[in-house]
Order: sequence, then structure tokens, then C-alpha cells
Amino acid sequence: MKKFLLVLLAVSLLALGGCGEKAGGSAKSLRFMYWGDVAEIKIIKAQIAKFEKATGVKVSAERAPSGPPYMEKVLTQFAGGAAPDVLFVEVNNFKQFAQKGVLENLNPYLAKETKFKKSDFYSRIIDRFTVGKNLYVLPRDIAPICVVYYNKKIFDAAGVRYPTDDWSWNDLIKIGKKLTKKDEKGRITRFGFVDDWPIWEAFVFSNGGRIVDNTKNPTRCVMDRKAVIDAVQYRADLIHKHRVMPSPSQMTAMGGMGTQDMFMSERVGMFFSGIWKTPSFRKITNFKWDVVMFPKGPKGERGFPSGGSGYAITSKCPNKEMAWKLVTYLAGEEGQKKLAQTGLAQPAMKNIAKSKYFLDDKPPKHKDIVLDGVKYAHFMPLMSNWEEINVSMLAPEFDKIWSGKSSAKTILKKVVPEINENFFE
Amino acid sequence: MAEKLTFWQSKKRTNKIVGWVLYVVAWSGAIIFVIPLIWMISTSFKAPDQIFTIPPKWIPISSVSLEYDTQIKAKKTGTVNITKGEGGIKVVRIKGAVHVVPEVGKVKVYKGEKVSRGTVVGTMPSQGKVRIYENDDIDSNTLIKVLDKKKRVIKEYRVPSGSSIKVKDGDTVKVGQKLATVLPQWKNYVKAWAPEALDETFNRYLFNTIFVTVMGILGVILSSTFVAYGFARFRFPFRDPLFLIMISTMMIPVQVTMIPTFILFKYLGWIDTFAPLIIPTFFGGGAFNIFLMRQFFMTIPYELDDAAKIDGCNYFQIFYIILLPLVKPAIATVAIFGFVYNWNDFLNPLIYLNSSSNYTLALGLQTFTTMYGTDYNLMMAASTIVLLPILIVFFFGQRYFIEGVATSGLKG
Amino acid sequence: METKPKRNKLKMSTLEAIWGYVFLGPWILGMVFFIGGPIIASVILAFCEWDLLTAPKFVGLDNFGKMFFHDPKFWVSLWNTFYYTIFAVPLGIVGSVFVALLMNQKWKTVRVLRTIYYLPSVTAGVASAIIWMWLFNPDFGLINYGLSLFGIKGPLWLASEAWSKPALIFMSLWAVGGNMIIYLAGLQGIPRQLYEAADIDGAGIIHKFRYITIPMLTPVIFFNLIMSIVWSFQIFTQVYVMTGGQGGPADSTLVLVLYIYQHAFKYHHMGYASGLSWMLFIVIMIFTLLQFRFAGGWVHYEGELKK
Repeated sequence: MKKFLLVLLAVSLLALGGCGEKAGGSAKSLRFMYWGDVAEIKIIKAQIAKFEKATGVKVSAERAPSGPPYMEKVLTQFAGGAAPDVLFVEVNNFKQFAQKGVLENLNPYLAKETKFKKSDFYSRIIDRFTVGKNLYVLPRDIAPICVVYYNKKIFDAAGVRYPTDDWSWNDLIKIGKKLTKKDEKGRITRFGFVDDWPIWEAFVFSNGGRIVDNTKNPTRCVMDRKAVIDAVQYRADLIHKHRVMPSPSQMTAMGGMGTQDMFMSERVGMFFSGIWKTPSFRKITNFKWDVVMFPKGPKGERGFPSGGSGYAITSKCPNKEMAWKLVTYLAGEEGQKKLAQTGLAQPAMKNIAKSKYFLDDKPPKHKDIVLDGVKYAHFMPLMSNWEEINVSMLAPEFDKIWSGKSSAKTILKKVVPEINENFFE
Repeated sequence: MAEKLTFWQSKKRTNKIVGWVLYVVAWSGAIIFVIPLIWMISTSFKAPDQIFTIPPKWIPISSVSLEYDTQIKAKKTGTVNITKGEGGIKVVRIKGAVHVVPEVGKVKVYKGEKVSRGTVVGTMPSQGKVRIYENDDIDSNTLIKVLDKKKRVIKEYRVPSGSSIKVKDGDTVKVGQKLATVLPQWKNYVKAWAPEALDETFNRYLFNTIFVTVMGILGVILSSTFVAYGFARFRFPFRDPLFLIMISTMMIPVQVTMIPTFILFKYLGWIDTFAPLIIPTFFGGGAFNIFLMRQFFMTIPYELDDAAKIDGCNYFQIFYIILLPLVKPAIATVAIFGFVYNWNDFLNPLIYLNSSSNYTLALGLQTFTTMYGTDYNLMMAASTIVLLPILIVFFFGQRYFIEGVATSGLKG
Repeated sequence: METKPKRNKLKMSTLEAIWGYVFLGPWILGMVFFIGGPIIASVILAFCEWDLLTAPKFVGLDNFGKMFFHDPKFWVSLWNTFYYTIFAVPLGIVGSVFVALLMNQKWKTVRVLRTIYYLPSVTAGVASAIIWMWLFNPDFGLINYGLSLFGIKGPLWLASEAWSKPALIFMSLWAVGGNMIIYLAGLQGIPRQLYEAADIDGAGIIHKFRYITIPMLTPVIFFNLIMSIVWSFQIFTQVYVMTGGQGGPADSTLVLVLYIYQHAFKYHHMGYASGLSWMLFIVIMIFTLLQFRFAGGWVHYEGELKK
């Protein structure tokens, strides 16, 4: 019976998916799927135009909505044997493809490439996109999440000096309190500090904590150690003990996804995220702002999660040489220079990141902190199950910590063994 | 006879009262229902900083003013004279951006520039429409606020220099100047319609959507009535089980049949075409529509069919001569549901359409919103654009499916 | 002589049966070509592990074993879905019938009113989610503001485990306009003569409502009841947008289809997702069958064709 069903399924799926066109392209055209905002789209279109002119190969650039719909579409296409040739990925959705054999190993191409070499890129992001010995994604940018944007006007009005890079968690509390403002009814109208989303990882890494024992080959979740518990509790305390950060209820209050709006409408003094907020924030006119690195942990350590993105070639692509060429146009020097100028992302190529293309005189003035930040960048565990652990086990439990219902210790001590039991046994 | 008259009269009156009560209820409900939509439309005209103001802003017009810190405190009830030029110095350059400089320090001034000191109240939008006022003499643009003891604004005036206004004990008079009026940002709609950096504008999406929708409605009406007729008016073996099977096809979440269906369409070579969106509608048009039509067919007495058969009609003729006209409201309902479904459908276009020139409005809207991230005002503008055609179609099309479809007289 | 009519009768009913199938034709073809295959595939997938990127793997009843004995979230999501359905469906039906009756009056402004009631149900999900998140703002949203006028301190709504589902139910009522138009169509189908006859007999409004309107509407109510339950059990988009796909806070809004979606597209367990879907299917099917069983007791068709 089992064999029969298997055969039936195989036959039906193969019959449906196996025959017919291969993944998108042919010798004369390539399919490229990506997401992006306005600035990125402009750059991509320009680079593609150059590529088409230089090679005569037509590129069908398919722009898909970012976020979950992107993955839905990509997964559907993979499942249906209709995957594109070149794919834009970032560090978090990369782990869903990493170990499945659907992406092409780029090392051979990189070795032959004349315009740039592997050592031109930040080693951390190259490492992130490498599984075993194979590099699967050519990085376009790296984004250490270490940027605290701050509103100079609010600081001035409160008489507080701007934070400097060696500030600590305690300083964060002190400054946050000074910046927090209440109205007559006692409701807080302005908070001191907020992170773009609960970036608890930054607190954990800055306190010397770790999420798993080995990022590339995790065998255990280690979040029940003291360093992690303290760090998570510290973030919760910012909300409930020191009241410098809004709670989730106050967050859904502010219009749902509005942490960025909070900063732009001056309802928070400090905003913690990555460098990619720069283009939006450059549109602010009613106050001046700058950036500072996320504060050091109590032990003087630094660490933060990191993002990053790049381009991959799918393994079923019929014309990989041409696909590689396209990738070089997109992630090569020229593409990275243009990207740097938008301020949106820190180029993955070290030279360009250090150059005037990125370090120009447009705000934020201290954007060079991200160059430093790369040193302390950590990445999420490279396992395809991490998403499930995060969404189904960590996030709901963490909700209880952020809403003040429970303590970090109780929750972590409860959930980490469950994670280990279910995913690592 | 007289008794019967009174009976009628009082009944008329009660009917009238009931009628009025219902009218009030209907409108109260409508007002509550429409509030969220009003917020949506109002937000679509706002500059970014006005969106999540507390308390919420309904009219997308705000002002940016410069308030002079120097104040005149009323010692007693009486009148106060307004004169200009009290206080220190701060440079304010007005050309789309207001520069506020520190209290102590040197500042460069240019000939002819007026200087004034104060606090900027309100926010200039970083993009969008403003009307800017240039002069800073105290004149009709000067904002004069009278605050009570608790610092609440009691009254605002705009009067020229030399005027007098009334104040009470402890009131404070603040003199300021309106810098700009932030107007409803029509630009949001322009931006939503033709986003920068895109190859196509919503024109293209609109065209695609209209095509898919019209074809979809056609398919659905033709085939669902056809099939429903079969279920409603015929006896055949397995009729009821088949009906149940039909309904049960609605009970499987789309997330799970989505991928096998995608594989099927890929095999047929229909990816990146409109075929997957249109052709299935001609094959039954969905369980929802068949079920609905079947219910409506079953409200019509079978005697009509019999009568028609006796007159020599065949099954087709009974279908389109007798029955269809009687279920026009239902058909119109199916049409509008079909219209809305195709118009707003996001998932199917997402999976089956690759080239953005094939995108429909819903998909364009979704892609667009993720491009502009958290520009909610633009998102609301785009949503309103997508909503508008439905509104128009519904408002003007109401008479076709709701008002007065003549029903036949059967008995008596 | 007696066999003749008998033979005629047979011929008639066979003819009718054939024609019945003819009219059913498009649907049958559609089932065979477009729907059948994917459905069978999803059944088979329920017994497999599939991450969408590599080949599916047969695992027998593993998925179901896990679902029933090792997966508390399955029961949580089932409960959440039930909770939502139990409240949203009756409220929705009563609401849409009531609004339809109101909208059937002959006021001059009724067209505007109808449009107002209808529009919410067709507003794009993303936009409506944002609007409602703003309305449910615990501190500054309109809903709590309105409550405060009556001296009530409103709850945290979407940020509260206890109130997140009621918030969803509340939101679903905003869309009664969608069903309203079905009822309006149904009301149109009631012959005016019936009302006129009743008027002549001296019947009051309540009387006419109870003995004419409602009975004649039962086929539509029946339809709506089944559809509402089927849809409510499958609620997804609003929850997804408002909770960021999370089902929070703390899984309080994790409805079954959201859970299915998570397994299919986030956790790479498409097989498990299929299994869950078929569980959902069975639950809905049971409810539907029950309704059909009891339909005879209260649904009234003028032109029903029993076998």
C-alpha cells in the first residue's frame, strides 16, 4: 500500500512538474526574482540594462512583494519546478534554502572571476552564506544591527549630551529616563528608547550570551544560561521597570508597525535598528539626528545580530555562466557603489564600504560605526528549522516576557528544554 | 365601518413611528460603519507626520506655526495691547524648511531677512503641499493664543498690530506666527498611481484587472447558473452526494491545494498568463456560486417548469426563458461577488503571474506597499484607488439587482 | 396496455437523469481537470513530509500521530477557531439579516446607506487591518475613547490574550455588508402578493415578518449559515495581517488556517499542513452534514424537488 501511494504521488507530481520547461530561462534569457524598495529598484533596473546591452541576453526581472509573500511565491515556484535563475536572498530566508541543494555553489565562478575576489568582501558575510565549503550567495550588503538613531532636538531640549560609542547599558537607562515624557494624565507621550522589533538578540549577544552552541552546526539551544536570561530580562526591564520603552500593547497602540513612525514623529528619542532606515530618515526635516553604536554590555562586550543580502543562482538554471555574469553586475563594484550612495545598505565589499561612496557627508554623520560593527556581528543559527523554533516556540513565550506577565528566567528555563527536546534530540 | 377606519389610522401611525425609528437606527449604524473608512480616506491625504497623531486627526489640514516664547501675563481682567517685536533673536528661514538654531551662538543673517524667536509648533511635511507665509509682521497671519491658568488654549485670534483683546485673571497671551498651512496632499494619489521606479503605472494594472474581472464574471454567471439548474431541477442518481462533494470542495484551505494546483498549471504552460485566473471560472465557477444559485432556483415553484413543459419547452428553454429571469437578483449578486473577488484577489496573481506587466491591482497594491514600507498615507491612497471602482459599480448598479425585480404572479 | 405507461415513465426519468448530468457537465469537467488532481495530491501529501524544495517523503500516519498526541498547538488553534466561529457566525447572520431588512426600505437615501454598509466588506485586507489596529489602540483609539465616554476603561484589545479574539469578532461584524446583499437579493424574491394579501387580512409588521419574510428567506439563511461556518473556520487574512503572521499575543489568535500556513511555508512541513487541512475539512464537514440533516425542519423551499 505504502509503495503504491508513493508511486502514485511520485507519478502525479512528476508528471505535472517534471516535464515542461525547465527553470525559466534558456540560452537567450534569464529570470531574476527580487524584492526591493524604490531606491533598490532603480539601481537594479540600471544594472540590468547595462547587462542586457553588454551581453544581449534578456533578463526578466520579476519584482515580488517583500516579506512572507516573497517566500510563498519562491517556495511555490521551487515546488513546481519553475524556480527563477537568479534569486535575491537575505540571511534569514537563506537558511531555508541553504541545506537543500537548490542553490548553486558559487566558489568555482568566484575563483575564475577577474573583476573581484572573495577577499574583497567582509569575511563574516561570506561565511554566513557558506555551508560546509560551498558559497551559495554572493553578498551585496551586510547589515550589522547595531545602529541607534537619536533625535538631537529631543536630547537638546532635555539637556542631555549625545551618547558616544562607549556608552553602556546603564547609560541607556539613565538617558532613556531623561528623555521620557508624560502628559497630565500620566500617559507616556514620548519614550526614551525603542527597537525596531524586539531585537532581544542584540541584548543577548552584548551580554556574552549565545543562542545555540554552534551557529553553523547547532546541536543545542543554550538560551537558558545566565547571560541570556539576564540580557532578556534587561530588555523586559526597560519596558516595565524603567519604563523607557513601550510595551507591546503600547506598540500595537501606536498604529501597529509604527516604531519607525514613532521616531519620525518625535515620540521616541532613540531608535534601534539597522542602517537601512537611512533613506527614510533623510527625509526628516524637523529635527537633526545622528547615530551611535548600540551600547556595550555590562561586561564591556559588544555583539549584535546582523542582516545582509545577496544573489544566488538556482541549481536547475540552464545557463549558469550567464547567470553568474548577471550576478556580477548586480553585486559587483558598480552596483555596490550605487547602493552605498543611497545610504540604504552597507556594501559587502570592504573597499566600497570604506570609501566616500558610503561614507559621504549625508546624514547620519557617524555612519562609520557600522564598519566597526561588522567585527561584532553574529548571525542566527543556520538551520532550516530555526524559523519554526522562533515562530512557534520562542515568540509566543517571549510575548509573555515583554508584556510583563512572566520573567525571563521562568520562561527560558521552561522553553529551552522543550526546544532541545523537540528539535535537537 | 368606522371602527375599521380607526384601526387603520392607528396602524398607519405606528407604522410611521416604527419607520422613523428604523431610519434613525439605520443612519446611526451607518455613521459608525463609515468612521473607519473616513479615517482611511483622510489619512490618504495626509503628510507622513500627521498619520498617527494623538488624538487622531480627521481633516488632513494642519498648520505649522512659530510661537513666540515671550509672553504677556495678564495681571488682571481687562485688555491687552498687542505690539510686535518682543523678545530675543532666532533666525527663521522660510523656504520649505524651518531652521531652528540654538539659543546661544552666532547666526548668519542675510539682508532683508526678518528674525524672530520662538518655538516651532507643528511639522512641515518632508514632501507634499504646503502654503508658506513669508512675512512676519504682526498682521492677519499672526496667531495670538490666550491660555488659561492651566495652560489650556481658550481662544485664538488673528488681529493686526495695535488691536486689543480681552483677557481674564491669570491668562497668558502668546504671540506667534503662522508659517505654513499643510494642505491635503493630492500628491499621495499621484504617487500611488504612478510609483517612481516602476515600469508600469496603475493604468496597466487597472487594465489587467478589468480584463480578468470581466472574463471572470462572465464565466461565473454562465457556468454557475447552468450547473445549479442541474442540481435544482433534475432528479438523477447520486444527485445529493454529488452536491455534497461540490460543497466540500470549499472546505479545504487554499494554502494546501495551492501548490499542487500550481504544478498543474505549470504543466499546462499557463504560468504567467491569465488563464489560471479565468478558465476555471467557466467550469462551474466555484461551489459558492453554484450553491447560491441552486438555493434561489429552489425558491421558484416547480409548477412553472411543468407548465412550460406542457407548452412544449425543452430543458434549455425552461432554463433561460423561465427560470433565469426570475433569479436576476441572485445573478446580480453572483456578479458582484465575482467582481469583488477578482478585483481584490491577491494570492492567485501572486503565484501565477511573474512579469509585473501582468500584475493586477491587488497585487500591485501589495508590492507597492512593501516598496514604500511604512508610508501609510500612500498605502491608504492606493487602497482607496482600488476601492473606488467597486464603490462606483455598486452604487450605480444597485438598481439592477436590488430594486424591484418583477416577480411573477402564480396563484391568483 | 399496462406496460406502456410504465415504459414511458422509465424513459422520462432516464431522460431527466441524462439531462441532469448534462447540466452538471461543466462542473464535472472542472472537477476532473482542475480540482480533482490537486485534491488527491493534497490527500497523499498528508501522509508525507515535504519541505517544498526536495522530494516528498512518505511517512505514513506519522503526521496524524504527532497532531493528536504531541501537538498542543493543534488543539489551541482548533479552540481559537471554534471560539471565533461560535460568536462571529450567529452575530454575523443576525446582523446581516437585520441590516438587509433595513436596507430594503424605500427611503430616499437608501442607496447611500447600502453603499456605506457594503464597502467595509470589500476594503483591501491590508488597509482594513491597519485601520482597525489604530481603532483598537488601547490609549488613543476611538473604540476605547467611545467606551470612556460611558466611564468604561477599555481593554488592551489586540495586545491582550483575553481580548484579541473578541477584537477579531468585532472586526468581522464590520463586514456584514457582504452578506447583506445576499439577503437583499433574497428579499427581492419574495412575491409582493404575499405581503399584500397579508395586509388585507390586517396583519401587522411583526406578523408579516414572522410568517412571510423569514420562511421565504430560509433557503438563503441556510446557504448563509453553511457558508459562514465554512468561511469562519477558515479565517486567515485578517489574523495574518494584524498579528504579523504570528497568531499572537501568545498564540491567542492562532487560528487553524494560520497554523496550517505556518507549517506549509515557514516550517517546511507541507505534509503536516496537508494533514491539518484534512482535519479541518472533517470538522467542517461534520458541521455541514449536521445542518443538512436538520435542514428539513426549518428550511422552506417553494420549489424543492425531492427524489
